[in-house]
Formats: sequence, structure tokens, C-alpha cells
Amino acid sequence: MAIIDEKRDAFGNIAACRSINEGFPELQLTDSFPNLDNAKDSIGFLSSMLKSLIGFEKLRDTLVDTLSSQVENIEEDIKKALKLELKSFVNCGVNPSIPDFLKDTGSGVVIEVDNIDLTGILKTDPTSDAGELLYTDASSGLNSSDLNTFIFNVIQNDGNKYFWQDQSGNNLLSFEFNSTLAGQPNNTLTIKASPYYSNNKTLTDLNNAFVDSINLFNSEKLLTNILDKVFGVISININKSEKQLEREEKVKDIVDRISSSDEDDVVDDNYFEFDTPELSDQQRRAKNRKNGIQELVNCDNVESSINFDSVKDANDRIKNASNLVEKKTEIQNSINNLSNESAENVSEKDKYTVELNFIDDIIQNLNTEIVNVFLSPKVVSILAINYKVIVGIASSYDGPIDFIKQNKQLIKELILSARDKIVEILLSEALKAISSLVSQKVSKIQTEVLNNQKSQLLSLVGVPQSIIRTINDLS
Amino acid sequence: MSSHSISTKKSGVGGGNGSIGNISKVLEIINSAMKIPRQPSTPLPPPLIMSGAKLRPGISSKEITGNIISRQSEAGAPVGDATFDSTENISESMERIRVEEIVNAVLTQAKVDVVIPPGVQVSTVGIGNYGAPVISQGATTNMAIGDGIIR
Repeated sequence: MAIIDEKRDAFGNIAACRSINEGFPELQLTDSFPNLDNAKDSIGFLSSMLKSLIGFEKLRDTLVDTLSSQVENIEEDIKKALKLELKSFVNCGVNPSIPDFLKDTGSGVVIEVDNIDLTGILKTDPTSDAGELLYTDASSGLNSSDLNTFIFNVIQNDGNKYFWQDQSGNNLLSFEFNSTLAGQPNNTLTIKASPYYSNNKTLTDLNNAFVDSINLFNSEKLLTNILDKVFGVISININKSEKQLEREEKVKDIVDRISSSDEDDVVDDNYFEFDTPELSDQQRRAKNRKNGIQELVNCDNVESSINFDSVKDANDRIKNASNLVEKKTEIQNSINNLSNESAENVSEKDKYTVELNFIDDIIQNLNTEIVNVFLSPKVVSILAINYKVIVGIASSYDGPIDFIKQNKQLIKELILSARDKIVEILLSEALKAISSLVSQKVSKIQTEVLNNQKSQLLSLVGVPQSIIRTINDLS
Repeated sequence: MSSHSISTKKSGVGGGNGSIGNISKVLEIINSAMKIPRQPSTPLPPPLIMSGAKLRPGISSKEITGNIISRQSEAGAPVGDATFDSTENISESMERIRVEEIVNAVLTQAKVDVVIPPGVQVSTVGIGNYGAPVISQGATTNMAIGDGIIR
């Protein structure tokens, strides 16, 4: 059966349940319903289904729970996938030991900063207003627990070598920034294994220790960076160029395409090529982000926006929460305030739809933002090291799209791993709502069957139909 | 830029076989959750059907149409001369035609097949060798099939 028919069945069944439970269908089932198409985007489909199934408050609560309680689970699953993929990556090579050039006595892996900073994060100071929305533990400098903050500070100390440590406090990798280095392009990072890891450790040991040493996700950063993807809140503040934003939109579309792929699909060149309408759409979205707006297509193209200070305030409140309960409350309040702000320009009757779409946008961009973390220096550094070890020390790539292209199988597995985790959360909510609808429906049908049987019994003993009707109306 | 492209082997993690993330799997799970088999209904007591069926008046298209029209207001539909111009209410006329056709088809074309399962307890009376009545008890061994019509 075609995907659109299966989707129609799903929405049709929900409408039928509603009709039986509430008397009249509330869900309009037309081809213009978002995601009622042949698209394979499971997150988008589930998000749309949840919008109609559970409404704003419960959908917001699902998002709050995902951003607070589920972030650690998502991180754990993705780290597991990352370790397995790196192990599989290394097994492609003949020798699993750390190559001499990567050891502390070797020349190290020399990478241009631009090739490790595929998202452009290192162009922003962690201690600036915008930096606090992009980095974690921004004020700790070279002692930061955030590798992105650490690398930024390494770059500020030209010619000096600093060690990133594993979870046990052993030196793991050394990072050295050189604005000029003989035989190399300007502005490079030289990365080497520490003496501790250079001796008697394999590349897989180093990879696993590295993955354990970094924190991938963080509730407030996921939220604020998604808001940047939708409204361009941070991009405006750090004055990102339209070209950079277009490139980000292109990466988003590639991630969406890979996320919609089946397990056995081969990620070929078609995933990286776009036709003219698709390119125009990317340009339009980039332009909107550059202007800090989102066009609300369902509300006469009214422009919606969110203030940088509101996002910063949300970031600070969530960051300063002292326990999980407080964190949940702060995330919930932040989403309420920000969704209200996003609906400020629309008429009263459209406010609910806009607020609901605000949550939908955040859910639909979760996967993209998770992948964005994969493309940040803290993950790219280890992927780039392995890339150089397997492909060759002289090999290189040109920007994020070429990086994804050249590591497509690895990136695909990470994207699908993140997608599966998000789908698991959304599907569980959808099934809860569906089981409630279905049990109500079954209960209504059983009651009707019993009433029918009662009516039949009464008719068989000669009770007039008018009296049977009265009895039925009373029951 | 290098022309190399790296592929890793499938690990089975994240999107591997059995992954719940792809749209087909999601739709399969959701559509299965909607389907809950219902229990069969309890049979009506046979003696009651035997005696009670005789009391039934039979179906009437006019009565059904009347009942539907009298309940139209429950769904917000106008009853009677909705336009106040003495013209016939088209939706009510359509209702009459629809019910008449359905009832006519049911009365003249529908058929009821009745199957009596084997194993029905029976009690028979016969005459013995000396002319005395002999009562025997047993159960039917074959299915019995009968025809019926709806009235």
C-alpha cells in the first residue's frame, strides 16, 4: 500500500474513533492536511498526528519531557551508535593500533580550523551574549567541560599545546593552534594522542575514551539552537552571512532526506543535489533567518519573530535550575512564553494554531539540531582524526556538505539513530493517545451492542417500539 | 578535496534492521493499534425468538422515513418547509426515496440462510413392539439448512 494511503488510513481511523466517541469528527481529512502525502518523514508525520491527537498542552509536555528527562537517554544511545560506527570505521583499516603520525612523537593530524568548525561556532566568543547560547561551561576557558569551549580557547593561544582529558583525568588528546605552520595552510589545529594513549592503547580505545569524555547534548542549548534554526535568533546577533545560512539550510535538507531514508537505502549523490525550486526555498528560509523572522504560511504569511533577550532569558533560567523538577518547570515556562511571543502578530483566532505550530517546529527540528552537534568541533575532531587515519593524512574535505558526503554511511547511521530515538518518544505518546481513543470506542460499541440486544429482547416479548425507544433514551 | 568516500559496514544500530524509525514501521504500528478485535455477541434465547418473532409488525419504509425526519433536528438539519415557499424539502424527499429503495431491496431481494448446527438435543416418541410409546433421546448429527426472508 502507498504511504499516503496508509497515512490516510491512520488519520481516517482516528477521525472514526473521534466520531464514535464524541459524536462528530473534529479532524478534517483532506490531501492538504500536512504530512498526508507520500513523504517518508516519520518525525514530521508523528508530530502532525500528535498535534491533532493531544493538542497544545500535552504536546508541550511531551517536548518538555524530551528536553529534560530524555536528553540523557538520547545522548547515551547516540554515543553507543557513535562508538560502534567509529569501531566499524576503524575496522575498515588493516591496523587498529594508533598510527605513528597520531602519537605524541609524530607530526599529528593537522586540520584547518575551518574544516573542524563546520558550523562556524568557533567564530563566536563563548563568553559573549550569543556565545553563552552556543557553548556550555563557557566561563571555564581551557578547563571547560565543553570541548567546543576548550578548542576556542586553544585557538586564542597561538603555538601552545593543551591536553583534553578523558573521564578518569588522564590526558587524551593534545590540541595546538598555529596561525602559521611550515608546509601547512594558515590557521591549523594539530591534534595528537597523549603519551598515555600513544603507548599500549588502540585507536578504538582512544575513540571510546573520547566519546565518553564529551557531553553531546544539553537541554537549554538544544532549545535555543532550534529557535535559531526556526527564527534566526542567534544568527542575527552574530551577524551570520546569508551564504552561511543558505549552507545551513542545505545541510538541514540533506539531514531531512537521510532521516527519511529506509535502512537499506543507499545514500547516493541525489541526496546532495537540489533542483531550482528547492534551492529557492533554501534561499527564502536563509533570508528569513537573516531577517529574524518566520513566515506563517497558514496565517496569511504573517511574520513571526522572537527576541534574542527572551531566548537568552530562557537559556539562563533552564541552565540555573538546580534539579530536574525545577528544570522541567523552567522549560515549560520558557516554551509558554516563547510560543506566546511567536504568536504576537497574529489574530486571536489564529493564536492557538501558531502556538501549536511553534511546538511542532521545535520537534521537527530536534533531529537537525542533534546532527548539528555532530557537525560541531567536539564531534568533528574525532571523526576527522579517524577520517585521516583511514583515508590518508593528506586527504581533506570542503565544508560540511562534502564532509557528510565523504562520511555518508557513518553520518547516516548517526542520523537514523537520533531519528529512531525521537520517533520512539513520539510514537509512545501517540500510542498512549490512540489506546485511550480506541478503548473509549470499544466501550461505546459494546454498550451499543448490549442496548441493541436489550431492545431485541424487549421487542420479542411484545414491548412497543415507542417504549423501547424511551427506555433506550433513558439508558 | 579528496575523491575518496568512506563507507562503514552496517552495524545494526540506529536505523538497522528492526528500526522503529522508518515511516512504514511507524504506520504499521499505529494502524495495528487501531484494530482491536471485538467479542462475538451473545445469542438470543431460541424460545424467545420462536414466540416473540410472531409479535413483530414487519418493516415499513414510511415509518423509518418518518423517524429519520423527526430526528433531523438532532443533527441541525431543518425539518419541513425550510424555505417557507411551500416547496417540498428536497433532503426529506431524498430521505424517503433512499429508505424506500433500501427497504424494497431488503424485502424483495434479501434472503436469510439459517444453519442449525449438529448436536442439537432432541427427544422423540415412537411406538414399541407391543404398541406402547417409546421415548428416545439423542442429538442431531448433521447440519440443518433452511431459507428465510425478511419482512
